[in-house]
Amino acid sequence: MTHDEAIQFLRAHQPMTPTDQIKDADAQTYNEVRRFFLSSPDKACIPLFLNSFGDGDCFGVYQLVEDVIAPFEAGAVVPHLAMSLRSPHRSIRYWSAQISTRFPSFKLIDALAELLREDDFDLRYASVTALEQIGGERVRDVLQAHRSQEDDDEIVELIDEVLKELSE
Amino acid sequence: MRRFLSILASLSRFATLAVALMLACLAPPAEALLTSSHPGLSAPIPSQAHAPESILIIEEIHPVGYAYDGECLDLCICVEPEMHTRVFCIVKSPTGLAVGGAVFGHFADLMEMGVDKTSSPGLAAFGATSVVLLRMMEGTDLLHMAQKQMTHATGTIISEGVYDGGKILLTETGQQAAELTPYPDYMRATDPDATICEKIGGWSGVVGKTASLMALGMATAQNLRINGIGPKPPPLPKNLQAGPRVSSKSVVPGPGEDLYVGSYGKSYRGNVKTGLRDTHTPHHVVQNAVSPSTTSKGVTINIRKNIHIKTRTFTRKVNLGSLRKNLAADIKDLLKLLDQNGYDRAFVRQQLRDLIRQNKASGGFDK
Repeated sequence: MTHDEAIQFLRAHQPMTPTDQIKDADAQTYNEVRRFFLSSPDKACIPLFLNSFGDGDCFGVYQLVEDVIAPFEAGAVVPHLAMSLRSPHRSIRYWSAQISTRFPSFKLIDALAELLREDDFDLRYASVTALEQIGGERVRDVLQAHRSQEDDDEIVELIDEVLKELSE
Repeated sequence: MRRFLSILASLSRFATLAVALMLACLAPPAEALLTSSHPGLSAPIPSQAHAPESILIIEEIHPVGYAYDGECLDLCICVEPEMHTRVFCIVKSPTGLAVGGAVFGHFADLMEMGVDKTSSPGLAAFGATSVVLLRMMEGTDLLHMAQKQMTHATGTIISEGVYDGGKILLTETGQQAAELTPYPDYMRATDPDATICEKIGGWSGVVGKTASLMALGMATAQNLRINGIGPKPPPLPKNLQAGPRVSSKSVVPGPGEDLYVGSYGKSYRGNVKTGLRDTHTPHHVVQNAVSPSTTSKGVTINIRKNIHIKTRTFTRKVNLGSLRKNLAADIKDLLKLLDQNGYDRAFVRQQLRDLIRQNKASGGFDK
């Protein structure tokens, strides 16, 4: 696979087909693209990957995309995360929240706080996990404010645990 | 013999008085040290403030086994009034008992070099020992001296307690052999590699599990390697190499640990907190694409990424028609992969049983 082919594939899949409809061959090509940029990092792939997440997990590939993004400095990633966290595509928001744990930044608090208000367990759980990495007084305020509105016991428990750790 | 002499030579780094004092303390037969109860654990810790100023004080002698040339029988922890600490390995050599400081002198070298991360479980255990020493000087009760947090190559690991390893060994072997370690034994044993010594120019790492191996009656000469001391030993037998093999099937890993079984969200967060996400990922079983659960709620087992990408469901949808069939195929797949990667079968089976249990609890399995 060449650099151009890898870029072209990502550009053509913004986002990827939902996992329940995707062809195995496309999932495998997506993984090849991931491997390509893992060995040949290029900042151009950052926004393309962040907006590539179709519904689902692409048969276990999406969870490995953070390894491609991780080597870049926060300044190159955080602005794109701030946008992808507000993507109209739910899966892009979800996986972006996960990748946000790699790039804890105050600039992401607002976007992550918006995910807390979604009627979606996965998004809220991922948001709390990412906010935990940012920490600080503002995150504490956001989590405390959300806790009283949270109706899922598991997330309430998670928030309590995070708040306790943040106060230590 | 040559290696033994090299150990003795290394003792020149330490005070002669220390050696003499320690030898004096070794009056009981060597075997008694191994089988005796833990007097040091219940005895009050002498206060550093009462230590004479000009001699080395042996604060504790713990029946903690480390293997080195021949047989390492015990571990002495010595505290100098000047706040220097030394940990000595008591070695049963072909010529009788001797005190070997080489092992821990080497570790002291690492500390002086500012090495604060290790991929070696053995070194991590030594690190814990040094912290215990520091706390001893504060008069802390040894029984409660656990290093609660260890910076490790794969992240920060929170300790469950200082004698986790020993407890496991007591259960399984009836022998008292414990390392002062922040790790539960399975955690040290699942350490992916032991390369820190190589990184700093040595030819080998320190291989952990020594106390376990001793207690189990396995070889002692080869399971602890010392950087730059003596001739380079032959490669370790596979069953003694640091790696994912574990001996304790009674220990259940938590979030952020190898082979943890739980929801994707909880497991991922655990990996973020321990730093294991660099090497591990929660692998959905059953495959997320055929599971009724969401990605975050789906049941997973935390495995190395290089294993995850070899699973039957990676990059492809494999639906055998029912959750039961899919689960059975995934379990068979993991059994094979984890076995190929050197995992202890009993430990793997324990975790896979939990994986099956959690899948069934999540529903959708018709009889």
